[in-house]
Amino acid sequence: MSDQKNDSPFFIGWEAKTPKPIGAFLKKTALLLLVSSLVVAGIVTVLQSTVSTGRFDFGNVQEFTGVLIKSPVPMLVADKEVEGEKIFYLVGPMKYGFPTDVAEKHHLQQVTLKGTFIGDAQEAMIEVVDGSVASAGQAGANPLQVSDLGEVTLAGEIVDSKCHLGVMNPGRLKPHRACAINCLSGGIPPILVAQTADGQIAHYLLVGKDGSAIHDDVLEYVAEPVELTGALKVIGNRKALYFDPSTIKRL
Amino acid sequence: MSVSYKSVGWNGFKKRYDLILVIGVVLFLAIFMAVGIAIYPTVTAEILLMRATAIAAITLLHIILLIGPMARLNPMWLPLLYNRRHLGVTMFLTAFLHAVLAILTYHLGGSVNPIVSIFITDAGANMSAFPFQAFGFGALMILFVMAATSHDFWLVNLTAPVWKTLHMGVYFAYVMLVAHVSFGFLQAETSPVYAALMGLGALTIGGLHLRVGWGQKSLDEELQDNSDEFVEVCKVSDLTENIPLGATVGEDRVAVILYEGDKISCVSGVCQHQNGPLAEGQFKYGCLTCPWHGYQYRPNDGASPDPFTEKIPTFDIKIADGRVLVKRKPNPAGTPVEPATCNHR
Ligand code: HEM
Repeated sequence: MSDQKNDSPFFIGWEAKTPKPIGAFLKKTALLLLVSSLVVAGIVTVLQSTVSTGRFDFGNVQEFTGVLIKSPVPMLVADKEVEGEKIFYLVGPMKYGFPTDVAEKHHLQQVTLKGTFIGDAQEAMIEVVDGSVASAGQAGANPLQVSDLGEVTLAGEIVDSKCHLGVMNPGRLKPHRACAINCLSGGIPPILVAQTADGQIAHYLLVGKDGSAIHDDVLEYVAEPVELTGALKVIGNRKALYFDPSTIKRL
Repeated sequence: MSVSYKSVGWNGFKKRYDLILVIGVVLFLAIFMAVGIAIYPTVTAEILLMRATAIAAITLLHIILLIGPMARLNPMWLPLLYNRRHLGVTMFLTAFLHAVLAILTYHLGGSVNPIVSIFITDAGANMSAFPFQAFGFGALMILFVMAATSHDFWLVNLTAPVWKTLHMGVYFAYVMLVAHVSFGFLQAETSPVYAALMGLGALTIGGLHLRVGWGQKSLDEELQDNSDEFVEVCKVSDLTENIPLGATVGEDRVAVILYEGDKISCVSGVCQHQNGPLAEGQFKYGCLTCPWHGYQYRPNDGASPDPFTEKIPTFDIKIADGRVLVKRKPNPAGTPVEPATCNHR
């Protein structure tokens, strides 16, 4: 295939010296390959479009005090604002939800707990250190008002709340699908990420029609465009959709 | 050249080659991470690194697959082929880091075994949940086997044809990776530039291989002649001193070489080391020298000079009316054959 001439330079790897014209060619080619690779690195990293505002303060365990609520998902209504938030969803370490027995035991009690802040521009969460929840008073009234906004139909993507609020950023769509399924199976509450009419991102906590926790029922719809219909309620200032998972529509 | 298997030694060229390679990979990862964090301060570092290593590995894989056909089209590329195995091993290690990060972040820490999770959790029932990570796993396994057997020790012990076949696995790995990226990353990151880059990469690699394969085939067809004991492979006037001419005799690729003024010999065109194309080499230091790793064979008996032990088959040769005729049946490797002589110049 090659049209060599009698005086074509010929490279022999074990020779100490590379023939001059080959050396010059190699320098040019290596430089070209190197520079084009680095340009690819730059282009690919710049064009990523799914990174959100969520963050996870890994390594920074803080103490929180407030009232613990077990349902529709475990939450803490903190006595004072942390990072501008008072309502925190509670989850366990790794890919597990907050233990239901602990939530049951401390329902509506004043508690202290240790954990790590997770949150984006709209919602916050605490990854609670195992065994760190302690009673700090008697059970009282539920501090959160619930208001009904009626039936709505929402389009968006089902994700697991823990990753999406900041533990994994970007934590949605196809690359993250398997992880979200692992997390939801472990008891982490699902949320719907939807776009509002004015292009803003809105989150809706997803719970069963009767207010029970749902996990396994939504697994097959994770990370795909879906449409959900149900009752929209506002718990404190968190939006939640009460709906029947068997009515999920793929878009 | 080898006495035992330890063939391709270290020299200045290989050191420079590896230095540039390492600097390239480190710079690549550094640029990807630094620019990524600067633009997206809330991004998770592990995920950014997972992406940086993935893109570095697949970019390197494209370079690796580019070198083969480019070296056949333009021999100036051959030196890049010489040490290509180091590119392969580096690419595997980079991809391995990516896979480990993916398993640690997306699969570890739940109730399903993380390796099982790659296959179970990622597999969905419909098209938009089509699994992509299993393709990555398959590719990683192929790349692992290739990296693990890349040393000449394996080349000698598995024999060159088996080793070659094994290392053709890179094309399966490549196809699986195109699926891995298309059903995964490209489903989320929808900038058309990404799809264009992947498409351009696949077209370039596919196109170049087709082009080189095509050229080879037409050459083969031209020279197939089953009728005679001796077949014509070329005219004496086609030969250039010290530059072998490639042809196909029967089923065998051969190299015909004019050397030392008026001698013409014909040996197998397939290097014993890695089946490199001897017909694309040159006659140097009294031997036909392989363009890939500099393995050498004397044209008159197909044997490497002492102390080396490689041998390739030789072919009986004669000249009639300015035509070079070669016997279709090869002699056993290392058999001396009287060179034909010509008054070429
Ligand atoms: C066990 C093996 C593997 C697993 C579990 C795996 C997993 C993944 C995951 C989860 C993603 C999406 C990451 C994200 O964007 O968030 C991904 C993307 C990707 N993978 Fe793999 N992978 C494996 C092997 C490989 C291999 C061997 C390569 C070879 C180069 C590779 C190349 C890529 C590329 C280029 C991307 C797109 C960029 C990115 O999203 O990171 N993967 N892989």
